[in-house]
Amino acid sequence: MTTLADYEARLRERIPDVLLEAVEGLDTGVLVVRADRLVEVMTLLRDDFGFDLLSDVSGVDWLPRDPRYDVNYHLACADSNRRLRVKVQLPDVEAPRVPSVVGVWPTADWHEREVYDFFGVVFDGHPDLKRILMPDEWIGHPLRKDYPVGGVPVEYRIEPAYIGPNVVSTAGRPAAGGVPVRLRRDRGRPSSWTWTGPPATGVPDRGREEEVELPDEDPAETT
Amino acid sequence: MGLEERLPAIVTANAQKLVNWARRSSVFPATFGLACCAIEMMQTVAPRHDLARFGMEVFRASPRQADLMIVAGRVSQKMAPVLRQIYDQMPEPKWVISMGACASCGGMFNNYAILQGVDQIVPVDVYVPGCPPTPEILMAGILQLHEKITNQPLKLGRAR
Amino acid sequence: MTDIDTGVPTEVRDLWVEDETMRVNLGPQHPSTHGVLRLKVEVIGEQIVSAEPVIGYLHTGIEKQAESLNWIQAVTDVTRADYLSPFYNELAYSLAVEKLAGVEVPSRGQWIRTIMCELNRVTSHLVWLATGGLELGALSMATFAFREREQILDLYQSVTGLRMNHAYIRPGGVNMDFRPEHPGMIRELVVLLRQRFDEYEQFLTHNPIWIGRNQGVGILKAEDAIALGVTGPNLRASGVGRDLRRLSAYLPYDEFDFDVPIGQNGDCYDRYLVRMAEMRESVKIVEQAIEGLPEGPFRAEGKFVPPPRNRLPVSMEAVIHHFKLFTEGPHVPSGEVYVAVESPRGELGMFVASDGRGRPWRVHIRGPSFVNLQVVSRLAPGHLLADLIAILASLDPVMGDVDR
Repeated sequence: MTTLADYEARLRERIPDVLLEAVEGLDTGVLVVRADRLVEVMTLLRDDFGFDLLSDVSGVDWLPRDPRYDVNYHLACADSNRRLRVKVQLPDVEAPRVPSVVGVWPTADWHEREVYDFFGVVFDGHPDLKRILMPDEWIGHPLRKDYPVGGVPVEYRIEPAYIGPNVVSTAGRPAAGGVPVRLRRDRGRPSSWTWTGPPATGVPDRGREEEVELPDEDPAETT
Repeated sequence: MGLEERLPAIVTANAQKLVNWARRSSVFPATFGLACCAIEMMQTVAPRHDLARFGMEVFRASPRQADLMIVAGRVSQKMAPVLRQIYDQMPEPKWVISMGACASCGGMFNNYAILQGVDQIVPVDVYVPGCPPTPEILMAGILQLHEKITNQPLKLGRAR
Repeated sequence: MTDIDTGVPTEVRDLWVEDETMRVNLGPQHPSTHGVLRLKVEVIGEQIVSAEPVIGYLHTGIEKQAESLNWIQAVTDVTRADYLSPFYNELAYSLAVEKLAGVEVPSRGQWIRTIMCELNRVTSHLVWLATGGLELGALSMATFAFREREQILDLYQSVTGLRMNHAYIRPGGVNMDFRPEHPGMIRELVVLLRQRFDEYEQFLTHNPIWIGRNQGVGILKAEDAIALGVTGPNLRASGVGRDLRRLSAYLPYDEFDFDVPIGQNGDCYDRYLVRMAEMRESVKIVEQAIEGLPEGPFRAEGKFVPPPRNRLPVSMEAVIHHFKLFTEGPHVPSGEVYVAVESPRGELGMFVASDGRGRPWRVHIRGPSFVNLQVVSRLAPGHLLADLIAILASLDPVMGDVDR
């Protein structure tokens, strides 16, 4: 019993009215089931169909689509290559609810906490549903599509950002600090670490008068 | 044989030079490896780019026994208060090297989860660029720091 | 008989008195926690009552960031997840994107991928050996293992341009071909590594201190391991012979002759033996692969992959193709795919969902260490505090993989 059609037929026969769709994906078959009878379906899949390894639980936010959230359970078989994906589709509410499968596969513990942390999906029956990767007091669910990526705007500056008593001018020895010249180990001579060329201002040097010599022949013509 | 013949019985030195020589010759880093840069930091202690030449192979586990904090890796929002706490526990004089792009400015991770530069919470002495910096670059940064320590004026309570 | 919840013998558990526990925090900054892992440990004297890992101190937002980068740029993002085996992150991602886009990698590209990935397995296990030895007191092990790793990193720098986080394996093939000196370098490396592995075995395998600290510690039974989702050398040390290299043909592993080492007891010592044997098998694969490396293109043709640089000065189509690829990014048809590879830590899975545009809609990394680390709270109770370090070292977690 290894094809998607077999799984679909068997599931419909054992638990009717729970399978919404059976799709053949690019990598494995996908069964879309109803969220409320999930534990029953998963127990059947583990005991009867032989999927004893839960590889992963991943959530996806398809924001303009309704139902908005997908929770995918990637099932595998420990001693063979059989894989199956079971999908549950959840509506766009503040806290969509799904029964937890921790009782079926204990490994789902942290996976479900992660989906809760990033999407806000609540797993009913989970022993300890709290944030796992974000700080405990974080507000918001980062992987939702309406949560911004964040970060800071990147600016490019020419002059230094802060001039003050504790900043040594970059024209001299940066590593020297405010030490009198005769007490410095290097006596004020530039070290090999210092950039002694023209200031790296990020602005092209427009002051050059002399012509740039072009080569005699155009290299593109010789190929 | 040769040294005892050449040294006089009494040697005089400038106190600042002596103290700074001692400080730069045995800087003890605190273990603060976070991510990929930590592996390159470990490679710096490895036999080829031997950090023990500078007396720095002793990475102290406790920040109270360390002089230098090499922030090696990306600092997440959850880790930032921990980093500040470790920095506060280090006794003066202490220095910070921000190793890698993520510690210096957030690196390629300009997003909600990563602190955009560790200099937002601790003062940094040397920034070492790279993703991750090879051991040679890190050693160049460490040598820059040694120069900075050498030229540091000897006064109580350094102004930052 | 044992307590099902904590795995502790009942006669030991009955001696514990609830209000005598002391809470010890093995904080995120600690030399033995393999990066930034926090363990909330409750102990009575030296015996552990419970150990709860707290993670998230390295959370980088890799998955969210990948949604704002195009399909090729996302390789550089994803490669920094499990930073000790960057080729595997790139491989899983590239395989998923290739499946979505229907791109087929030519044979030479696949063999080059195999060579680099198996060498990466060796470098990753060398870091495990070094840090594991360092934490359990075998300090010289760190010196030796990092010395060998340096030789392999030289090869990486020569082939890919970087020592770590290479962005070398990309959708469509690999970034650059091997140059003429590389097969010779790899052959010399193989000879050197074999010799050095013998030295490591001499150093640790029959060492009574090493055996005393590792044997009988952290026994993970096979059915518990499967129920907890453990994969990789941890699962194989418990007696389950699951290796994705044999089960699914994501790279041409069936062309090579190699064994998959399997342990018996599932304790830390068996996990050590399994990884040592795996390093030797990886070197065997590399040796066979470099002898039989086929000629031909190293990346796929077609609209998905950039044209070779030497075609740009002579072909206008190549310039347009290059321009469109690096400004808009390749377009991958919509769909979702889950691809799993056998990384040094276990099953590294990449779930990629596309909506047909130039950027991924969702990239989810199934980190093997994320799942393996859950086992700590089941294995630790009943052991001494020093054994917790041995257990953690033998599970080989990498926090980049756990926290992403």
